[in-house]
Amino acid sequence: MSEKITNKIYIIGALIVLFILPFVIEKSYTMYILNLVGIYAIMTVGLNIVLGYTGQISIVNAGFMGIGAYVTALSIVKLGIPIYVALPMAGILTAGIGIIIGFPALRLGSHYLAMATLACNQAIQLIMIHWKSVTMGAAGVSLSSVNIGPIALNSNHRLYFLVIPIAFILIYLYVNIIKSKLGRSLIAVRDSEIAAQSMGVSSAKYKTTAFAISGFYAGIGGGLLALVIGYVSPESFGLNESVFHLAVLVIGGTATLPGPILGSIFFVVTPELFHWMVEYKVLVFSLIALIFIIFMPGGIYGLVKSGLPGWTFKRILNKA
Amino acid sequence: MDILQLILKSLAYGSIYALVGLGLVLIFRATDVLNFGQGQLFTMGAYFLVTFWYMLKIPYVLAFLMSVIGTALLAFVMERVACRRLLKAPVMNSIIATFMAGIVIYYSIQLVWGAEVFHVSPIISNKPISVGKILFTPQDVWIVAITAFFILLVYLFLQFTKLGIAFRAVSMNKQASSLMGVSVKKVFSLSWVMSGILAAVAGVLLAPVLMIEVGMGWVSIKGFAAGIVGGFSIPGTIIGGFLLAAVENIFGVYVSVAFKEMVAFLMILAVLLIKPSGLLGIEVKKRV
Amino acid sequence: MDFFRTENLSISFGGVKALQSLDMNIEKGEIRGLIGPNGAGKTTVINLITRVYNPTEGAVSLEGIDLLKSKPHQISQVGICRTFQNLEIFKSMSVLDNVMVGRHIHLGGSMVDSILNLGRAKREERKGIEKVHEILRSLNLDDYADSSASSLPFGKMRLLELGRALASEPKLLLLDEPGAGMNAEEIKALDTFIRKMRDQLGITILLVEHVLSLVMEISDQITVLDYGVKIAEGSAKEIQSNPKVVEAYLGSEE
Repeated sequence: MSEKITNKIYIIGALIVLFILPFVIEKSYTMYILNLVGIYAIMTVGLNIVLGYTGQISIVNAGFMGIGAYVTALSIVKLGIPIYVALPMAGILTAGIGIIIGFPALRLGSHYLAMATLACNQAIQLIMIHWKSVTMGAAGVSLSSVNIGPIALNSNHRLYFLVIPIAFILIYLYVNIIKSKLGRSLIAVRDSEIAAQSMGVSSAKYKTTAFAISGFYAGIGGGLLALVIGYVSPESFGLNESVFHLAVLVIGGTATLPGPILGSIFFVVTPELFHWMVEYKVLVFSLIALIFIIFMPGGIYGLVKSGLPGWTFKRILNKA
Repeated sequence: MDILQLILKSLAYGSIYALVGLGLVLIFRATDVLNFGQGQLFTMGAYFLVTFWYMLKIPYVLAFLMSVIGTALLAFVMERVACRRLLKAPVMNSIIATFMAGIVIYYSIQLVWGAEVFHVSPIISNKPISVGKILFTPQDVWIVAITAFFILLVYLFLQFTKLGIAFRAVSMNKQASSLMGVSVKKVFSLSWVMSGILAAVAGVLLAPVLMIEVGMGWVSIKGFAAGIVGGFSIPGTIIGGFLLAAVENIFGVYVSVAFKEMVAFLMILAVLLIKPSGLLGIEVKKRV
Repeated sequence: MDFFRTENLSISFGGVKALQSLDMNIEKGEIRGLIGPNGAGKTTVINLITRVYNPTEGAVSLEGIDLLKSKPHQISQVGICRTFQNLEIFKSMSVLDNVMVGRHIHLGGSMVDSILNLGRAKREERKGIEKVHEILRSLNLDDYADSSASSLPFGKMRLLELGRALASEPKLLLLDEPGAGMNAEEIKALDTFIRKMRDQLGITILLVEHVLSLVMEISDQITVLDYGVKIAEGSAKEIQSNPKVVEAYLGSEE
C-alpha cells in the first residue's frame, strides 16, 4: 500500500515540476529541447509496447511518425481542420496503418519481420516523395503557427503546454497498459506464443493491437513534431530515423517502463552537449549508441538497476 | 526499347545487386545476423578504388586488390566489434549494431573524403557495340564477367576447401558443427570477410557507372531484396539480383521512373507475404 | 455422447507418418495414460488436440464439439488446457502473473476498462488474483507468488505450469510429462494432486508420461503408442503383460 502512495507522490511531484518549468526557464531553445524529449518519449513508448513488450520487431516507427506528421500538417494547412481534431485523427489513422502493417507480423519470424517493416518504412517514404498531388513531394509542407481557439501556439513555451500534457497522459496510459491484463497478454505472446495461445490469448489479436498502439503513439508524436518544427518533409522519416528510434529504446532499456523516457532524454540532450561539433553530432551519438548496445544491453535503466551509480557514488565518497 | 535490350541494360546493376545480396546472405547463413551496414562496405570499396587508382595513380589491378583487401579488413573489424558480443543478445540488438556501425563508417567517409562527388573513368570501353538490333557495351560484359568469376570463386571455395565446408556446416547447424570441432567463430569472421570482399568487388565494378558519393549505401536494400527473393540461398540470391534489376528497368520504362524505386520494396513485401521462403530457399517454418 | 474422442486421427510431416489413424475414447472423469517410447507421437497427439498442428486426416471432438473447427487460442474456451514437455512458462513474469495468464478467459471487462483500471475489469482482476492465490496455495507455491518464475527450482516450475493450466478451469487437462525431472517425493505429491484434480474438481486427465510407475499407478486406462500407431489399450495390468508393449519398450532400448 505504501508503495502506491509513494508512487502517487512521485507523480504529483513530477507534475508540479513539469508545470513550473516553463515559468522558470527563459530560453526558447531549452523549451524546444524539452518538447522534443516529450515527443520522442511518446514515440518510443509506443515502440516499446510493440517491440519490447510484445517482442515484434518494428523498423517502421519513423514511417508511422511521418504519416502522423503529414496527416496533421495537411489537415491543418489544406483542409483547415482545427488542431484538436487533426491530431487525434492523425493518431487514429496511423493506428489503422499500424494494423495493416501488423499483418506480416502474424506470419513472419523476427528477421523476416525486420525486413518487412523496413520495406514498409521505405515504401511509406517513397509515397511521401512521389504522391506530389497530396504530399507536395520532396518540397514538404510548411506549418505556420497553429491556434487552439483564441490562443496562438506561436512559441516553444506555448507549445510546451500542448506537448507535455499529451506526453504525460500517453505515458500514464502506457504504464497502465503494461500493468493491465492487456500488458500481461502482450508479454505472454512475447515469452511463449504457443503457451499464450493455449491459455486463450490470441497472438494474432494482441500482435495487431500492439502494432495499432505503436502506430497511434508514433502518429501523435509525428503530429506534435510537425507543430514544433513547423515543417514536414519526407527526408525526416526514412530508415535512419527508424533505427534511431530503436537505438533510443535500447539505450534507455528495452522492455522496461522508464527505458523509453531515459533514452529520449539521452537522445535529444546528448547531441546538444556536442553541439560545438556541429556536423558530427550524429556520428558521436552513433558511436555512443554502438558502445551501449555492445557493452550495456540493459541500457541506462539496466545500469541504474544494477546499482552502478550507487557504486560509483560510494567510490567517490570513499575517495573524498 | 524492347525487352531483350532492357534485360541487357540491367546486367550491370544486376551483378551489383547479386554481389551485395550474396554478401548479406553469406553473413546471414553463417551467423543469423542481418548486416544492415552492408551498403557501407560497398561504398568503402568504391572509395578505396577512388583513393588508390584515381588519386594515388596506383595501377588498376593492384588498386582493385588493395580496395578488396581494405574492405575485407573493415568487414573483419566490424564483425569483431559489432557482432561478437551480441551473439546471445536479442535479434534487434545486432540489427541496430550493424546499422550504427554503418552510420559510423558513413560519417567517417564524409570526414576523410569530404562531401565531394567523384567520377571515375571506366577501365573498359564504355562505347556501345551493336549486334543486330541489340546494343551493349564492353563494360557490361566486363562487369558480368568479373561478377561471375568471383561468384565461381565463392562456389569453389565453399565446395572444395576445408574452411568452405566448415562454413556450410555452420550454416546448417551451429551446435553440431561446434561439437564436431569446427571453430564457429572462425567461420563467423570468414563470412564477414567474404562479404566484405564481394561488397568491395561490387563497389569497384560499379564505380565507373555511378557517381561516387557518400550516400551510395542504398544498395543495401537492393541486396536485401535480392536475398529475400532468392530465399537467402546462394543461387537464389544471384538470380534475385538480376531479376530485380530487370524488373526495375522494365517498370522504369513502361510505368514510371518513380515506380522504379518502389520495385525493390514491392518485391520484398510480395515475397514475404506470399512465399517467405523465396525462390529457392529453405522453408520458413515457425518453430513449434 | 462421448466425452472426448479422436477418430482416425493422422498426421504426416514431409513423408514421415508421425501419427496413424488414432482412435481414442476418453470417458468423463477418467485419468487416461498415454505412453510409448520416445518419438512415438505422444506430444504430437497433444499438439493436434490443441490445434498447434493440423491433422492430415481424422476428427477430434470434445462433448460432441468438433475441435478441428477451433483455432489454437480458442481451445481454452472449449475447455481443454495443457502443460508442456519442455516447459513454456513466461520467464519474465512473476509466478502470480503466469497463472493469471491462465485465468485469461475468465477475466471479463473491456479492453478500455482494463487499460484505465476501472469498473468491471478492475473487479475481475481482483477476483482473478484471489483465485490464483487459491491455486498457488494448493500447489504450495503461494510463497513464491511475487518471485520471478525463472527463479523457481525446476520441479516447482512444472507445478507452476500445472497451476496455470488449472486456472483456466478446464474440462480436459492434457499433461505432457509433468513428472520429468522430479524426485520420488515430488512425484508422490504430483500423484496426489492429479487425483485431487479429478476427484474434487471433476477434471478429465490425459497423462503423457515416461515415469511409468506414476502412469501405471494412477491411470484408469492406458493407451500405448509406438511409431505413431496405437499398439495397445487397457488397464495397467493388461498393458504390463502385453507382449507388444514390452517389445516396443525393450526393442527401442537396443
